[in-house]
Amino acid sequence: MNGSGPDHGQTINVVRGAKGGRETLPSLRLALVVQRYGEEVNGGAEYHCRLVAEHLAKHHRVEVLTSCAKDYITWRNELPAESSMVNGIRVRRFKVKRPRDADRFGRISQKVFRAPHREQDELQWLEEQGPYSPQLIRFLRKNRAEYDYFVFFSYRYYHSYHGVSALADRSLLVPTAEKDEVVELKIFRPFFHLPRAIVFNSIEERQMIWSAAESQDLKGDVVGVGAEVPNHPSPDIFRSRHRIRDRYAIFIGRVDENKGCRQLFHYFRRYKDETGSSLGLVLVGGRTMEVLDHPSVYYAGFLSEEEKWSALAGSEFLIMPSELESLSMVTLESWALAKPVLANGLCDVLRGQCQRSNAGLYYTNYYEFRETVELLKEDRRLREGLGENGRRFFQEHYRWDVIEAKYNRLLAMLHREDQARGRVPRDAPRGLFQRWRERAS
Amino acid sequence: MSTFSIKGSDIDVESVMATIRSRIEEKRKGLYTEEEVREIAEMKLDSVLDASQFNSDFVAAFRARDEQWNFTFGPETIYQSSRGLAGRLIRLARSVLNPVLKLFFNPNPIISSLSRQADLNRYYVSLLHNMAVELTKMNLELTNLKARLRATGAKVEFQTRREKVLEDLTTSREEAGSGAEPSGRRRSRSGRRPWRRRRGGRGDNDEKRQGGSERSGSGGTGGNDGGEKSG
Repeated sequence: MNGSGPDHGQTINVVRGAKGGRETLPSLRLALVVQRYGEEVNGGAEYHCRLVAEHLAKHHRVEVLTSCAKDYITWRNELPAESSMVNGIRVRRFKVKRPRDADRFGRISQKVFRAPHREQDELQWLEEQGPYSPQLIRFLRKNRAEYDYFVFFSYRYYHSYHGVSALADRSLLVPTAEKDEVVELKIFRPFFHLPRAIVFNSIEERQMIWSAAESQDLKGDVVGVGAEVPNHPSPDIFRSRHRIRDRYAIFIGRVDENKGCRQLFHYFRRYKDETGSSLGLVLVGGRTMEVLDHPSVYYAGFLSEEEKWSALAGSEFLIMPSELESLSMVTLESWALAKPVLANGLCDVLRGQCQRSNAGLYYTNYYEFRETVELLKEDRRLREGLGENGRRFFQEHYRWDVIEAKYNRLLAMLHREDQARGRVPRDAPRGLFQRWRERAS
Repeated sequence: MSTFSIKGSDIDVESVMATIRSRIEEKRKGLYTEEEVREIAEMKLDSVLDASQFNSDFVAAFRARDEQWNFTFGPETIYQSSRGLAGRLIRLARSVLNPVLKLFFNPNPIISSLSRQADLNRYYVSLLHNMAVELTKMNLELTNLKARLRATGAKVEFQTRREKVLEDLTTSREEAGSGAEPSGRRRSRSGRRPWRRRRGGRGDNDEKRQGGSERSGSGGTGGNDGGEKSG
């Protein structure tokens, strides 16, 4: 392995549990396995993986194993199947055997989600969904001894299902599960019992996976992901560059029907018509649907990180209209800047986070939307209070050093168990027979 | 507008939401909640839909015949049989003979179209249902608006009558206050408005009319005014 990170032999201090006992963890060789990877890839789970990889690389030797795809719909091979460096992390890409056939995928989805079917159909659905890369799975099997642990991202894809199945004793799973029908597929019930530990994004996600696995005896922890908060975001520069004068609420993310944007547009237009409010709505991110044509709606498009933070800093509050979220990173970023959040209350995760943090309001219908928007717009003290709670919640749970410590604690737990089981130390020379047995297993 | 007194850590989102909900309740008192609208939409919609000759039981009837439209058509459907054990054998035989069947015609496009049709059916039912709900909402809103219009009309009528009564009251008080003056002269003073006291222009005709009426009312005592204008 030629991963990125500290030298072998370096140790990390890990605080164990709430009692604060300390132990040391050697620097490990980690492989993070994800469906797509790269700076140009902006999916939630993929971005999550990139951030985790870059932060764990401070403590361990990290490598990323992924596909050559960039597009999450077709999974076409667009990047070369080679090893390269992305932000100091070694990334190995593997070819997707075939891109997604929309017709075939549609038919098998129909069968799997709407009709009686067998487990075999669900496995076929997994293949048809893509990215179907048996080459990646072969690599994992062949090189299992080269890594101490494998961290698989997104349970719903081929690489996670077959990767975890092949390397159960060395795998951690970051499910990034949403509340949809996929989690209820039969194949995932035993699957969730396979990994050594599950890294949940939220309490609600853990609850959902417990219920899908029909067990609460799954090892793991609620970890999530952190955010790098810039020191001095410049809202004035953003305002002057985009000529925005009015106060505004902000939406950051893909402007997409699946993210609840159609409903947001509908509600916002009605709110403006009924109240005559001067509040604007700024949208930041790529788009897959028409943006509402309204003088108070401003579509800023895809912005650089710096500009995105500036836009967020200049807003009154963030709106998260999505119903399907396993963890909204932009919500955490908003709290990091002490900005309150207005979330879709039909999303259990967002609603739960708002309730636990006391840092956001939520709506489940138009009337609640109108009242909450009006309240957040008019009541500065409420805004500041919610924002302050958000900042505190972020500092306690989502600062990067907290997240890194949680990952290290999990890894230390696995390492301790392995030592107790007397698993072959990773640096010990392995004979031909041992290597053959490892490959055969 | 806020009724919340807040210090950062004092905020309890649930209590803020409870206040918001009660505020919504207050504002929407007398109006139907979303759930109620949905319930009403599920009921007979004759009163709403009769005008357009639409059978309000249509959605319900359509839903009652579930198996007729809510079917799944997969690649295996055309080989299925419902005759128990014999059916399984028949199905097996049909599957085995499938390659022979494919020599005569290709069943795949049929399977594909029927599968899509099944999707479409579900989609149409959902649309139909949503349309019925929306229509009900519109009807309720219309009824509500009509009621408000009626109430506003009644208020306007009341205000007009009140204004008239008050005007009469003022006039009679003024009359009582200056009892010595001849009634015609007093009438002309109180009736005349300052912006009409100018020569020519639009006010002239009014003034003439006013003067005329005064003349006819008081038997020539206001002749001075009338003469001045018409002269």
